[in-house]
Amino acid sequence: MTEKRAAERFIYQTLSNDPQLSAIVGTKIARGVLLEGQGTVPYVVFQFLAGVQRNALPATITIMTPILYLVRGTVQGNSAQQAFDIEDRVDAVLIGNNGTVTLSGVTWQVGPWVKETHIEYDEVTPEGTHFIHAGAQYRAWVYRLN
Amino acid sequence: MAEEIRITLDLSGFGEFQAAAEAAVQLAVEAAAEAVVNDAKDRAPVRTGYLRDHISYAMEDPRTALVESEADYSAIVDEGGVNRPANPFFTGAVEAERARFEERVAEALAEAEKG
Repeated sequence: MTEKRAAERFIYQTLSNDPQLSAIVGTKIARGVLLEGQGTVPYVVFQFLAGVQRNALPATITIMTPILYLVRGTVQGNSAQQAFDIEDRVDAVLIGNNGTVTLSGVTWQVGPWVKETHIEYDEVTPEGTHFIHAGAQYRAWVYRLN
Repeated sequence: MAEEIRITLDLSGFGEFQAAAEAAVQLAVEAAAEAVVNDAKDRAPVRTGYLRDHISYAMEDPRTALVESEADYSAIVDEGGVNRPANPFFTGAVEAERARFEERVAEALAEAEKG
């Protein structure tokens, strides 16, 4: 599903280009899960949650609507403040933002993004390490332009 | 010269329709909640079965249903955790029903209108 790739490219570039977010998480922005060797907390992950692809004629017109992504920050410790700071920056750069992404000669319109459900929860690993996750689900339209 | 237009609205029978419509909407909301529960159970990863077996709904009022996944690790499964990607068993079920819900209510109202 190229629509997902376009959306993920847009999210990654948008988050990576924000110096205030970089000041918090550095380059630790990843799809799905932070892989071994990519560092540790604090970090940001984003992941596709739902979206329905709809095809139309001519075949060059494909619409995935509406696409829903999770973007969350993860921090370690008892204070959620840094996780909320991450969410604030994601809100600042993503909400209302839109643009185009070109993949293999095909240009996709991505966005504008809207924020839907805020998420916030704790996780304590079997080793007793306490993590806090905070972020939101964001929705956007993605459609092919050429 | 002033022209007068008189409009008369016959509301006889409206009360019956309103009652039928409200009952139909309640059934549609309950059916939607049940669909979310069943879909979430189908999507839930199973190790012990606790997560799957503790998804339920309750009607809060005739137009509102609360669907709940009671396992305290539900959010970690659905939205992901440290070293664990999201497995949106719950969000996916809600989104699937979101796409159907409007039609479900429209059908219920159409049935109510037929009497």
